[in-house]
Amino acid sequence: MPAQRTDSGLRLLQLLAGAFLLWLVTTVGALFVLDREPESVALRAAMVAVAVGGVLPWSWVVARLIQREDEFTRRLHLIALAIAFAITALLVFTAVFLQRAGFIDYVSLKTVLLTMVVTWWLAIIVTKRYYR
Amino acid sequence: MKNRLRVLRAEQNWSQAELGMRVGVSRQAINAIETGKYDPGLPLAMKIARVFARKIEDVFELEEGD
Repeated sequence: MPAQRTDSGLRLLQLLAGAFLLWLVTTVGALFVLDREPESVALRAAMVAVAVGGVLPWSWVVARLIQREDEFTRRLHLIALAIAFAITALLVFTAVFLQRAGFIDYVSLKTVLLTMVVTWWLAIIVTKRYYR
Repeated sequence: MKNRLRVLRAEQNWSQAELGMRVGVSRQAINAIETGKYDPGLPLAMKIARVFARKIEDVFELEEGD
């Protein structure tokens, strides 16, 4: 039984690597095409679909990796996600008012996404340390 | 919630990792339960009671205010 679990875990990690590669390729590919500002609406829509579709397998594998953990680890991830959501929401809210007040010009969605990912990982580390 | 996990584990001379393996959770999970930082869900609490051949209320006990 534990050997089966290890095999399944290894398979999921291989899937994670594959899904990450797919994400990278579809993102770079879609950006490459869109940066050339094609006139075709169908092509632009297709590139959006490719980029969004490319991230879905990675999201699914991450969700499966968390789902196969024990209930305690799943709780850690839930808390970390809640912390990341709260911090990102607070930062976005702050940025909106800083922008309205004229202190900053523009916050890109890429910055918001990066902030969310970084705070998620930091929250995982902090939560794990708390329960250690 | 109070629990007697540490005592029962010591009686069996099991490490946290060994108990974790028997009930299908990590050593960190057992440590968090023993230190009172984490209250397990019902299925896990029942598994823990079962490996010690005890009733669930012999292992876990509600405290005032729970």
